[in-house]
Amino acid sequence: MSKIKKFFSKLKPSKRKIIQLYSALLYNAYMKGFITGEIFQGKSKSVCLPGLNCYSCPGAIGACPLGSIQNALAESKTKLPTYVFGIILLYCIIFGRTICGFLCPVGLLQELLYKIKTPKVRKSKITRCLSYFKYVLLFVLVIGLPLIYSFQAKGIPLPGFCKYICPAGTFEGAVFLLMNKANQSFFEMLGALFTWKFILLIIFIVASVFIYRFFCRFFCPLGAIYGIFNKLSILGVKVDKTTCTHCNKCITNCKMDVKEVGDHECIQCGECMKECPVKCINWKLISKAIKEDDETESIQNATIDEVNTKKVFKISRKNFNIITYVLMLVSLTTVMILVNIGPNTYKNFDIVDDFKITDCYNQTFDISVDTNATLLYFFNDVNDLDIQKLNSYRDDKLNIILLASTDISIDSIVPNDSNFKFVVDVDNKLLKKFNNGKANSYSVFLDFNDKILINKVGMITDSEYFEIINYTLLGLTVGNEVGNICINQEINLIGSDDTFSVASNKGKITIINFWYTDCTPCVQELPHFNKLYEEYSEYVNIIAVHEATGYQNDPEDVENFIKTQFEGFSIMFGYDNPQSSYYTLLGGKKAWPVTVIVDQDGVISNVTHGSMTEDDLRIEIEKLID
Amino acid sequence: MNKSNKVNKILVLCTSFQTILLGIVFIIQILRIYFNNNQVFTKEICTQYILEILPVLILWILLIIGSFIYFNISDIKYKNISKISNVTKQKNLERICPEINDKTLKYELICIERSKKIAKCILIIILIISSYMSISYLLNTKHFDPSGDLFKQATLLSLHLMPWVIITFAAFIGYAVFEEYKSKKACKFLLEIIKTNGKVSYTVTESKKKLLIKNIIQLGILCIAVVLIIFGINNGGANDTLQKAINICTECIGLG
Repeated sequence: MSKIKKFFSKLKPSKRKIIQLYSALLYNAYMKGFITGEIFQGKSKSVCLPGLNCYSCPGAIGACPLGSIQNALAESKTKLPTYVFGIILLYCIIFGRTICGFLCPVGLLQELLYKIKTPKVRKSKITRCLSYFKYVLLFVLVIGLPLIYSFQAKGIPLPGFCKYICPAGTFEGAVFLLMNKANQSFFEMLGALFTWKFILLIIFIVASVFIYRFFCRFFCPLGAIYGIFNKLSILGVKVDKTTCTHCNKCITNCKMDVKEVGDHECIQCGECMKECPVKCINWKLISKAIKEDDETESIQNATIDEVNTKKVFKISRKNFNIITYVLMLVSLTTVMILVNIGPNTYKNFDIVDDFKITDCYNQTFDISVDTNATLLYFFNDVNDLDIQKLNSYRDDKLNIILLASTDISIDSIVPNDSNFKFVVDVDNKLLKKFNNGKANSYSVFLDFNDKILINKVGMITDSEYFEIINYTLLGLTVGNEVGNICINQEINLIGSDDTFSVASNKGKITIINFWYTDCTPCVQELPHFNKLYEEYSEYVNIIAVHEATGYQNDPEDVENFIKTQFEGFSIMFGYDNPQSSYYTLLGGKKAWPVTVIVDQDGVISNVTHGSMTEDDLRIEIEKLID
Repeated sequence: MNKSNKVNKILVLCTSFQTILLGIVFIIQILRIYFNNNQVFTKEICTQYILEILPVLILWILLIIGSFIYFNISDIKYKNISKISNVTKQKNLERICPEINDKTLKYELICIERSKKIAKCILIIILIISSYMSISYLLNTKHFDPSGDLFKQATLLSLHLMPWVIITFAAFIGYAVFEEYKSKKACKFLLEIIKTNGKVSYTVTESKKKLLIKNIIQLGILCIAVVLIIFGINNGGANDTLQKAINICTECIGLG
């Protein structure tokens, strides 16, 4: 038994490991993201996390500090990056490199890899010299490149470190996203850049087995930033120089390239405390609050004067540990519940399998059994109901279900028709399956296979009826895949009151490019689209649709951006519908750019996720012209 | 050969070489004027030919001034002390007072030497940058108009080069002052050891004043951080961060 106990006691993680694991779980608390393959979009992502954690990781609930710095610097021509700088400064002054030692998931992974029993590379003068390389990366890739690109005439943002080096992005972002079946379309976007980054990731992983914290010591610019403030930080380790005998055991036994405890290379892990023979290394703030075991006796025999001193009111180490663990557990559980548990709503192209109602005539309707197409219309007020319009949609193959949030007398509204059903949706329980928010009216259209083709606020427009519902009833497949009739929607044009839709453009090839201002590949490829449009204008119409589902969806800003960056362009620019995103309808998964090519008959001929070169686009156009 | 002697000799060589070069260039220009049948050395002709060699002339002036500064600044009060190696200092001290704490001595002197090395590195970096900027400006022929006014040309050149010259001056002076301060500190420390016959245990204690300054700096930075965050939120910085974070950064993950 004692052998078993010994074995398990060796495996028992240290307190530092527990805190590292806690922080890794906290940063990636959105577990649903790993299942659905989508990234978290909550408002907590406006806060930078202290450690290195890619914001494209499906589980990430906060923003990456390095990525945020680079993006903020890239926009520094128009806006001072005070917010991100303030947050980083706050972390620097409070924690310093304690973040590296305790709160960084990348550091944790490296330490776990280092535990693999292999020969190890010891630190030396060479590793000390190499440790300054991370400052070079900081000034060149993190600060220099984004600033240079920002102040050029065409200020396209370029997060240099994220794009070319960061292993967190490759591992947490790419690998976890690509592992999910829902993100198969991302494989089209793989290229030389991914190959380079993947090779780099393998190098970091293998090197971390032999060299302690290989990435942290030589490559991490975030560690470089925190290291500058290491001596000034409020938390961390400190040496009591009155009792220190300068035996240097702390430095010799430390695996980082430190010259003294607490310098810019020290990750404040506290491992040196065990090595110190005179116990002169302590935690900066916490040691003042915690009383050691040997102090207990003296406190029990304390005089009144001694009671009045701070010594007596310290908490014991055991109690401190208990309080810390409880707080950690409670905070982690709370965050996980808040971000993961929420109403699941049906989205476009989901198949509805759970929809049973009993109408006002006590007739039950189960969507999974019924073979017709179904149109659901939710409304609050009778005035929102356009019965004439709905009557005009009547068809033997179409069930029309009207769902009211209040109990309304329906005799005068709907005829007793097997195809026309009326339901009182108490507390909007059924509406909540499709829409989280409040809506005065809401429309959902399901095809013969119960696949959602329309899922929007408001009544269905005539064009949507003709282009989606009508085609479906005629047996044609309307959707967002190649070979389907392109799902139609009116797009508002920027700079005018007109709209554009695929349906109104039949007879010409339509190219819809989805982009947004902060997306570098999107901005870089639009000139190709313009050039080809000018070449093939009699055969093609091109519209670049700016996304509108984010929190900052100001059409005026987009218009100004277009005027400065794309002055003189002949292609159309549109703005997506925030309530019913055309980008999402056409299969977009929060990764830009996406290009959809629709032929002269309105059938989708190509969907490309990622950038398209001029040659690829030309080939597609010429294929359709022939 | 002593390191500083080496540097001095290199400087003397460079300055001499530059002087000889300038002399040759001047002679060539004079000969050109003569053999171009312009035997009359008018002010305008001379100005035109001097303008052509203005970069070389200015480089020479800078080198002369730089050498002058270096030779004077390096002659500091505690020069002799800083040149003696730590090993020699320790041996001398051990002879005088055998009871000194050798580990403390080493640690203190090592700290002082380390800070001097860092200051030297910073000085060298500043010198390299200033030299590069000045030389790259001078070697760019677009900045010279041989047909133009000499005085105007020289003024423009000076205006462009003056900031770099001032930075170099400031760096040298700053380094000299810093080195003097550190050497003075080392001397004080060694004298105290000798005075007390090695019996005092010289330990580095953070004085209350230093601690207070450190706390004030920490609090100051904390306040600045909070102010920046508040200002950033008002500015829309939080929204920008959010906007970037809720969309997949295809570049970050190596796609696209």
